[in-house]
Amino acid sequence: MNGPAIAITGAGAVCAIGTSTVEIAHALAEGRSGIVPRRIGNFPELHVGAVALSNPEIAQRLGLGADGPRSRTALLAMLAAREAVGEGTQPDMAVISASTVGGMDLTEDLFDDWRKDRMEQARIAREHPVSAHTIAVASTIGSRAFQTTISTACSSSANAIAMGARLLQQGRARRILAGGSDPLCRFTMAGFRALSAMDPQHCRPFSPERKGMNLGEGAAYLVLERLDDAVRDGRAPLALLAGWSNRNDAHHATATSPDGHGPYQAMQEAIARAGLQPSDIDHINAHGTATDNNDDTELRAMERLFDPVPPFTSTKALTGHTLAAAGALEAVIALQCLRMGLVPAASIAHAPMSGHTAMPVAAPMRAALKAILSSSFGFGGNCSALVITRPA
Amino acid sequence: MSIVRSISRLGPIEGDPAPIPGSAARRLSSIQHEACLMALAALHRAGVARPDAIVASTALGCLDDIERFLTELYDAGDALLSPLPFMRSTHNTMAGQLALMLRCDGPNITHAQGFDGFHASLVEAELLLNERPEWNVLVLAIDERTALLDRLAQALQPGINVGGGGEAFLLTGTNDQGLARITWADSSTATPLLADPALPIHGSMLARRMGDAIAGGLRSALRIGPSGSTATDLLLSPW
Repeated sequence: MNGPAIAITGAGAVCAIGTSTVEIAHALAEGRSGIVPRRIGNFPELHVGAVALSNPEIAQRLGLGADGPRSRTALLAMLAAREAVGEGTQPDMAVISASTVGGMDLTEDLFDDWRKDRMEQARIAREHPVSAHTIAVASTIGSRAFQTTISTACSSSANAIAMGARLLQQGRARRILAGGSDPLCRFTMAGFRALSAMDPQHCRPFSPERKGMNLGEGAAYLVLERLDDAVRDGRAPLALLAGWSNRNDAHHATATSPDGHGPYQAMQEAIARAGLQPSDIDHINAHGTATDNNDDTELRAMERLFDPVPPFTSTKALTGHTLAAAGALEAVIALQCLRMGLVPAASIAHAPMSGHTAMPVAAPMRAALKAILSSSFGFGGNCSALVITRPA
Repeated sequence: MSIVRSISRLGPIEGDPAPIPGSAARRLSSIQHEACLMALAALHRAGVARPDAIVASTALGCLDDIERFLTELYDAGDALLSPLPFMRSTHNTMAGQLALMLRCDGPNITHAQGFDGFHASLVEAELLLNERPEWNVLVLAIDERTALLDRLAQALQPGINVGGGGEAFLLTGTNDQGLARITWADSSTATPLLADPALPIHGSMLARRMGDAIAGGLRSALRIGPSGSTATDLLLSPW
């Protein structure tokens, strides 16, 4: 059931620690966080991982005119997709993208008008569907192949990557652009505040003092193709997408089961699909949102699966939680780390969490890495995992 | 290959499984409740208690809860809001609730690609069933209609007839009987499956059309896919 090997032959990303994969790699090597205090809307000051570019600056980088409403989701997505694909058009490249809120950054500004029947700007509602950013990305790269948008909360773009791998293995596409995008917006700010899931200070994944997440924004994409195709066409693989899994915890709408059933299943299945043993994993880029429930249950699942738990990090302490983009962004980060031989660190944990002994990596360290596991979990019990390995 | 074992449609469901208990139903939004009833009926009709994977599609997701939460965001100012509409606002709320209710820990995906999301969900099911033909995959499409959606749609295109609805199918990869079969279309020149222009427009209208086509005794194959030429188009054939 392993099937033909899948190569990653392109990558692009934009997030709080960089507006390209090169900038992101530098920040990872330095252990530099992009999380800063910021006021958004009427909320009290919160720590967020904001992208350093304004919407007009992104449009300018993309060579887009100022015309037309464009959600930040679509702009971030187009920027990262362009980096992943490079110049030129790709008519045969399928696009599988992910978002949780789509054009909500525009909708939330106009909602008050619309509900009061002031419809002068109704056309902006066309930007609202989560699929709008996917269509924008496909148009940017000139794709006329299969397109879809996956929206499975915070595991969305990991699932986009997994679907892309399946399409390639079953011969239904030759090249895939897979990833996701989400913006900072008041809707998600208010939502995670209402859930008391936000740390007003810098987040502390896997720390006993953790008080919740910091939201982030960004977009990230991988170009996937079959390794035999890439080699034949002379494209050097950056890495291999060796394993993937999508499972459901089936426990609660927004919380993980106490023993981390879903996370365990997802990690175990992704490693098995890669033809590896848990002991082959050199580093884990954990989901690590820094909420009380996630970090405890995720580490419990890791402790059940691994002995010992390999060096692990939540890079959300550098980037913030980029929601639907997180799976792809962390896959891009894993890819960079694999190539640099770097275990990234973002930790401000000074002691293990209650009931655990393993602690996240404290400072960036050099290491020979062959296989990295990246986990992404979300609302609705979604649990996904990817395994990224060095080409042989 | 995907074999269609059963179909159900959003709306009053007669002679089918017991309704969802009041205590559980009270926590569900209307779109979640309807999705669950529809899915339970499709499972019941196929005699399957628990699917191995759940693949949903919705063009616009949980509009009612999104509007509720935005209303609170405007009206409550900085006050801490009730998290319930936010928790139920994600597009995967229906598939997630079904996983929880059915204790299904297998793949759980939601596609949101406008009118084409249903095709993408059938592609996803086909990919899964080609790997695991013995699986039962629940595929459901659902979209809800709200007053604000109606007003926005009228402002964008006066006279447009906007609806809501849903359809659920239970698919498997290997079975000795079924209602229809789905395969990759490849070079087939079969007639495309199109929405019925007489019916209201909603994200799940192609799913409804597929349900109608099968229920009406499918006589010839229909092509399912947005472009009619790609490697991911599907062919719906009579059993």
